[in-house]
Amino acid sequence: MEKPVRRIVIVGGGSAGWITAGTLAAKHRSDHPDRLSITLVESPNIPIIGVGEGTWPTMRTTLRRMGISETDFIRSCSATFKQGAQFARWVTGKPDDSYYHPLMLPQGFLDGNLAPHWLEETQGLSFSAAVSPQDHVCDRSLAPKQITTPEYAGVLNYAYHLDAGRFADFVRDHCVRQLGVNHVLADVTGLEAAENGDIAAIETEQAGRIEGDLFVDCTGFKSLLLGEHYGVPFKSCKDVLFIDTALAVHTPYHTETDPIASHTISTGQTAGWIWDIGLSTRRGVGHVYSSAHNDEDTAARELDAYLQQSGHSLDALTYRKININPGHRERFWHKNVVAIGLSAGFLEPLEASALVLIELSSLMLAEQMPTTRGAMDIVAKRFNAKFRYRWDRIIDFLKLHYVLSQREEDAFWRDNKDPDTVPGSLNELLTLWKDQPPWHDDFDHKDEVFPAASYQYVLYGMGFQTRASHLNASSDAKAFAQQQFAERRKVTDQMLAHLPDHRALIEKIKVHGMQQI
Amino acid sequence: MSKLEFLDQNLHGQLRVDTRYGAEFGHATHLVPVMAVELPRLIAQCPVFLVKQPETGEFLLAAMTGFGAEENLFLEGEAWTASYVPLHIRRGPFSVSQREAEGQVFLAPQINREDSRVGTTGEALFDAAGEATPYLAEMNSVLATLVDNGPKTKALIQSIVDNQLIEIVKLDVSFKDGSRMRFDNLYSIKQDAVLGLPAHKLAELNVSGHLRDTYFILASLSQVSNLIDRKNASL
Repeated sequence: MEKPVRRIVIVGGGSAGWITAGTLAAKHRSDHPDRLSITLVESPNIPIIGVGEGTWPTMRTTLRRMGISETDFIRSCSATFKQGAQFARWVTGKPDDSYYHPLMLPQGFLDGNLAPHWLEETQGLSFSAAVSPQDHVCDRSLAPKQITTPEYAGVLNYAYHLDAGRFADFVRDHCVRQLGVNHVLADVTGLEAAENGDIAAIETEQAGRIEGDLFVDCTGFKSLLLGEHYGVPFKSCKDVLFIDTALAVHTPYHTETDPIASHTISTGQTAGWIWDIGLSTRRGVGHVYSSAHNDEDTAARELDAYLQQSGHSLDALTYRKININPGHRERFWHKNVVAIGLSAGFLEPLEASALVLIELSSLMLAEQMPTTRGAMDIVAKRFNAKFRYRWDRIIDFLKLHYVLSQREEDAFWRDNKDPDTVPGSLNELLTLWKDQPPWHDDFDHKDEVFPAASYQYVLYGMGFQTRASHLNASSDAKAFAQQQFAERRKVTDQMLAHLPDHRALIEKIKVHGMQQI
Repeated sequence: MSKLEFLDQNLHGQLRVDTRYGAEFGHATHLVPVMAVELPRLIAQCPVFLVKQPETGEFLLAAMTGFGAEENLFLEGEAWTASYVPLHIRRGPFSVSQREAEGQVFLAPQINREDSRVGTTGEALFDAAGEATPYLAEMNSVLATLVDNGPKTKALIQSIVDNQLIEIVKLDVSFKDGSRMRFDNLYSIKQDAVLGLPAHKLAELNVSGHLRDTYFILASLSQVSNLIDRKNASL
């Protein structure tokens, strides 16, 4: 008989390990005598990296699936609501240059494409402001929901900003107390290979030998199982995305009434950009840059100048330097090891892709969990194909932000437009989009990480020009567009009248909680 | 406007309170907050729902007395046309608040001096000898019931929420003039969820009295049709 897959061993805690543990445990809870056992082995001595404070709306489903209360999550992880990203000084680099990538799809997106109509009659509004109420809501630091809105439901689409360190602890407590995940605090000292090349067990200093049928490598940049043990090659994408260093600081609020932004702010610098994320207790600010184009002192000075704008100084705060090796493993699932999280790869946090990839990986693992060792290689092959495609699309999408910039003064921005650094797949799409706006059919999968809507937001936010055409000119299409633009205006007025201040809502949730219904 | 003062015979010896009902006293409202203790009386005349407080999102119990925001079908001029008047309406210009005196903290009745019912006509609060009148004694008893039952009602709601017995009621009503109203802010009891509770939970709810109250809320739904009748009669 084929050997059943029953014992799952996750090596490494942090967001990746615990999201994987929670997703697997929640999906496979049962009274069956041969049910999956989920064990997470975590070193008591290695701190987690704790980057990745921005999420995608998928996080709502991920948390709910694990049976977590949204109220508990908001309270425990200093979490706030994120409705999109604002890109400042990416197009021209001038102080007034900014655009939004909101999380809501454009008005009427499932029924029709507004982009050609916006191109024809812009009325001075940016694309996102014309097709979504969320720009207007973010400009005023309003929340995407009300205190009467049930948990995980939104009036407008939203994701979260969260404190990564607290988040890992929070999900761990839930996994251990509610989902029956075995938590072992031990340092891995060795790996024991089986005859077929699988990993049979890990050896640990404090807990001895731990056997498993399937191992999940969540060991961070170290990639202990997939990278170090199996030597699955790392595919760098530094030739496309130059950013390789981050300087990160925690910035306090001046007072307990400072507004909390309901979007990530990303501001272009001479050789990179600065992220600014508002949690309920502090801001997380960081400068990611290309070390080939800037030295640490210059990068720190730019970060300091940014902090000065809100009355802070880098002198009073200590920054943490993180080296980023942009890229990913050539395969993510090899033999009986699957890598999730930083062990699989990492890219600059421009579109918060780190946590969403963890969620998508753990979900596919949970849903496609092979019953026997025999089925595993087929599942692995599909997993690898799917995630290779996803990494490639994310790289394309991140690069899109750079190739459209009109910033010419700095080498970093000029080099980013060098045709040799632009993937062929992206080049082809950009050529197509000169004649027709992005639409669903431009992509292969129904579950794209970035849908056509995201490309529209960035493309037109960056000032890209799609030529007007003789298509889409029917009176039906025009009437549809007029109707949608009018609907967007109506919805915006309602939202501005009824949505509460973002900080005020977070404070209310701390006191009263949200209802589940 | 409100100007709250702790009741005091020296200050309020001459005051009288108008005990009529009326739109001008804030009675023209279609949802009246109620206490669990009132359920047995209320279910004979109107539906009782769980509704969310707009300021906190927390549930409270409310009797539905009309359909439009300012419509109370139990109010006709200055009369209340049903046998039972909710405590929240009966308390008039009185409320209760924490008072600190001589190093002690206790609950004491207050009167809102700015309330339009408070003046020189109506029921006296104190008699010539400075004693509380039967009217004031009744108000004190209403206030005491409210104070006593606040936490009990909260406990009932908590138990309904914790046991996930709550569901949204999609109320869609039409009237004889062809008009139609929809509500998506009313919640009631999910009967299947009550029936599906394990025996020990049911026993727990039975002992606390919450099981009975849960069924009262459920039963009150049949009063929606009586409310529609009242509305139709007014058209």
